[in-house]
Amino acid sequence: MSLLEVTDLRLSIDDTDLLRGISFQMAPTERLGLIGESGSGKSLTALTIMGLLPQRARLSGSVRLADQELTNLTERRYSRLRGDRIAMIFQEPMTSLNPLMRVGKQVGEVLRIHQNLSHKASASQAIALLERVGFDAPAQQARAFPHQLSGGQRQRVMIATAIACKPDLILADEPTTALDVTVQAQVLALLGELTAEHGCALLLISHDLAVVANVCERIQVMYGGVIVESGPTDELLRAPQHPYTRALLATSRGIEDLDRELFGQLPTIPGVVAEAGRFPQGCTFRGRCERESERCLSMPSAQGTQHQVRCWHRYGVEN
Amino acid sequence: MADTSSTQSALFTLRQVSRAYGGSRRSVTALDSLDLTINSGERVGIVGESGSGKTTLTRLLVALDTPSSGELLFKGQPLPHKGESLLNFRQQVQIVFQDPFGSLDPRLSVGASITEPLRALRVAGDPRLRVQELLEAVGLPTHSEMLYPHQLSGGQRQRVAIARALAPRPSTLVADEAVSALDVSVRAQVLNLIANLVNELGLTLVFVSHDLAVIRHICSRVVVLYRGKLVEENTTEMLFTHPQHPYTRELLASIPRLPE
Repeated sequence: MSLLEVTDLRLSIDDTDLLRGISFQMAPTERLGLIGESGSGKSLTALTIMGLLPQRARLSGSVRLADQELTNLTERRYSRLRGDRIAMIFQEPMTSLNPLMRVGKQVGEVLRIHQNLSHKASASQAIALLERVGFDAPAQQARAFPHQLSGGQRQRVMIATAIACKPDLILADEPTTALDVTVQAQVLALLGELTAEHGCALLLISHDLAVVANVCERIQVMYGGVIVESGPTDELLRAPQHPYTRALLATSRGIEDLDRELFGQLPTIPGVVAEAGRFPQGCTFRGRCERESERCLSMPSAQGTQHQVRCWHRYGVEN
Repeated sequence: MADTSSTQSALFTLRQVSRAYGGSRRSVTALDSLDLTINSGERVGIVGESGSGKTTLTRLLVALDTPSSGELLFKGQPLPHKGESLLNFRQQVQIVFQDPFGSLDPRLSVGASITEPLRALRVAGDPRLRVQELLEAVGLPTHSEMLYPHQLSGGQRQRVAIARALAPRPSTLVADEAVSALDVSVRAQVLNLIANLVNELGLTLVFVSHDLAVIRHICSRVVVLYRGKLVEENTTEMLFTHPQHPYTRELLASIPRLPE
């Protein structure tokens, strides 16, 4: 039984195709990582699930949360869902927190709205939540305004808000990208801990393969509005089949490999990432791929079950 | 005597350099009594997180700011502030910033952006020829001369920023988080490019980053800043194998790594 079922999601804005048939499922409590570079469509996938697309976006396909179709919900019904059953954590907490509201009140706000808690009850719950996400003097710090907190603390406030109503699903879009590395490690650990504790599923979006690999049990790789490969984390890292995944893994390992020879050349992926919506017809990785052939002029379908790959020339498999 | 001989090969010499912001009552010390020497031809990495003072240090090194106290020398002379000597300094020391979209003028074509420092610094030679040379050096097609920043990808824009920095034939390149905003798949390309250019042109490189893994690939010596102070300084190899300061160890341990 899946918690989230996304089927053939296609999205275009002003005649630019941004998502080109996204399908995936998430089991309850599953931690799924979504990897991609700018323009790959990973954030748009999250915004589609949250019902936060701009008016002019044209969408087809289906998003079901525990058997409820979300794409046709009215804004009124969607807003009852957001914060309660699905919560989202954005990259930059400074822009997603209200600068004029004390942080304790912001954490309590979701509880007042969705659970009809009184001001008093929500305030004391907010303090408990702030304590849970690692504030050492939560009662005092609840009275702080966002600008009085550090980047890491602000992101902890966002996490407290996200878990307040014990949602079924948390979407975290680059939650640690703006943070210092030492703080990033703490925030990621906290996110993993809390989703496990509350039994909620986590969709963790990042451009950093290592970040996702350390938190998620399954990884999905997006390129050019398409999921090119998805599979269990260990398998995907051990035996990637899509040329893009392989190349991405090689560059990531190249940069982070602290044992490699100093000042050697780093492995690279040739070419440039096409602008969003300007991806080639057929396979989206065309033009940068070392295995390209004429077959790649048409979009390959997803092969495999647990480990799915969209490529005509998969590595390690007879094609 | 030993001191004089070391200042001769020294490009930058910092003695007890501090930089405080704000008034006398509520001042914040961004950089606190820094002692540092950067020798000619060296590749020095400066690592630290937000608030460590690395941006302040960068601004001081390229003469965009002046120390509140202490001594900052370039080739044994105080950094110039104005006039002919400042132009001369800028010809020798160039910088590449993190976000090329913010540092390239959106109204100038790539060619105009690259030739701008040549005119501003009154560098002799045929600017058009120089643009072609530079585009080739940074791996951009020659017709990109006519394009505008918004028509380029992030990686291409950063290549333009590098070409512009190299235009006046500087001896020193300062890179401030130059690859941090780039996608993973192009970050390695740009890192390789910087490393190759530094080698070929024999540049002194000051590479400022929050990312130790990136610094490891490009620098021969690393300086670790923490809360405005220099807490550790060593050759890259020693710093990675024998980190001394607890903060350096924490930094190393926090690098997200792929499971084997």
